[in-house]
Amino acid sequence: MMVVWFLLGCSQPECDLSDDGLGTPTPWELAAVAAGLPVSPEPSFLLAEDGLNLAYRDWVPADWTGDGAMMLFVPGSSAHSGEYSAIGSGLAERGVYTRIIDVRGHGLSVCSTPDCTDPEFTDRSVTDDGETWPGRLGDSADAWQISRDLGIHVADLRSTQPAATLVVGGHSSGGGVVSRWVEGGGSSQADGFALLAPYNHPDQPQVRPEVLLECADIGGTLYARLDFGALGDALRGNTHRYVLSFHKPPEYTDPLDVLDYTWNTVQGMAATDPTAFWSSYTKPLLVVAGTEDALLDPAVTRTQAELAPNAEFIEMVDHSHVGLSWSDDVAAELAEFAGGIVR
Amino acid sequence: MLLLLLINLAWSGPSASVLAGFEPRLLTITGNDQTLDEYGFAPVHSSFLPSWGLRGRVDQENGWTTTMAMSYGIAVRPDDGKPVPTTTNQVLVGFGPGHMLGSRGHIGAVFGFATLGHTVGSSVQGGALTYLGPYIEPRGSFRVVDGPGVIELSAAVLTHLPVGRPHSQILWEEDFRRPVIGGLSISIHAGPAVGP
Repeated sequence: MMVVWFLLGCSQPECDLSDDGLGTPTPWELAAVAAGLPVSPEPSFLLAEDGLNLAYRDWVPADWTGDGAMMLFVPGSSAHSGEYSAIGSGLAERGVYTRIIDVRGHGLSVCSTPDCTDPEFTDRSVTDDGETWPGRLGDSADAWQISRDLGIHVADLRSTQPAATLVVGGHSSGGGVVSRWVEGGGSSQADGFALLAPYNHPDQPQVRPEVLLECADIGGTLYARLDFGALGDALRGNTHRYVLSFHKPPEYTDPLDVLDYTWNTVQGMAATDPTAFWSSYTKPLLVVAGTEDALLDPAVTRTQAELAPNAEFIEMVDHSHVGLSWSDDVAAELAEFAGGIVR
Repeated sequence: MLLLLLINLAWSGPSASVLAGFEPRLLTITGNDQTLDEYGFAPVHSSFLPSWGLRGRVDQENGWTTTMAMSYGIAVRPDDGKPVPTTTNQVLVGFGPGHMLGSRGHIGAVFGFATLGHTVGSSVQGGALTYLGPYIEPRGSFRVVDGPGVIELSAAVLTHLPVGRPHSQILWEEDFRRPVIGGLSISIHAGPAVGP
């Protein structure tokens, strides 16, 4: 009896990991994916503090004179600038100079060699050995390096387009990058902000309960799964340990996607607190949510956005979490917001 | 002593004894030391575990005996550079049969329930490893002093079979399982005995 009691007491709960938690794309989103996204401009590169080439793509309006609105945009977790070409082209068509970046360790921000478009110069394998180098997939030197990289982009845009107004925005965890940067003092360096379905912090209240994982050894969400054992190792000091893995359906997954994050990058793509950062958004802020977002509850996102002093909230009907990044309607809303910003 | 003498004179059944003693053990408890060190915890460092115990024995006239025993051991092991020492504690409770070997010798085995625990900590994490499960401890003993007052020397071999996981800390990847915890002890016990 004693042995049976022990065995029962130590059994692990069942955990269903068959779903990705991102929901089903709406009909127009399925059509958009099937048709293919607009072609992106060629990437350019800025030098980071550690010699890494930070990749970005600039969508320049045809009639750009230098004194209009600019948007610097951070893609969501795992993604890269090329997957946001609908936003980039939609903004540029409406007169907004748009830069969409590849966060370090994502997309093409993975090498320190001169020709970062050549696959031979980039190692896209993921080996969880704690070793690190500039551009290692899903990794960064510390929890603030991604914020500092964002600051490099802001400084570059400010110096090359001094007459333009600058809105800094992000989608999902890209919003988390922006919120961390704002929390760290970035608010004064931009004229406005835009967050699309922001995943600002893992403990933010707008994450839907039904996508949260409560397995024995895995937490987070069905889409972004946190390995508790690896997290323990990271908390003991091995911050280059891969702790988070993303589970996207194949139709969303691009060869340049990064599906594993180290603890440094997990922290770097989120605010330090689930809610306190909102008060740091002292400039105009647009928060956009999709009505069909399976990951985040738009109603809670609205109440969260109200914590910011100058926030405007809009809901995009018939948009899923990922679908916000494919939408010309979202680009139109962003362009209208950016165009109304006064420096 | 007078009370013991009176009890002894009045006793008409099988002889019985209750002994308390020092039961130092050498245990196979250092196997996780490297991992503990990697986690920032102080290693167990030593197999030696000072232990103290009580042993009660009833001896039948036909030579068969029944023993009830309990034992408690504890050790605190600090480590340079580690803020929290690792403690080890062990509790054994059991009973079992035996047989007299001549007038002063005895051989027997105790079966029972054993717990062995390590409390560990570092500057960022802490917790406990708890090994619970049955044990068996064969023991051979010899009474160097017999009579109302007994002094007994003994040697024993411990086999403890932990069941289940020793921890449920989700932030620890290693399960720290030990299929068997073995040990040796040489003990000295003393106490009163009654009976013929």
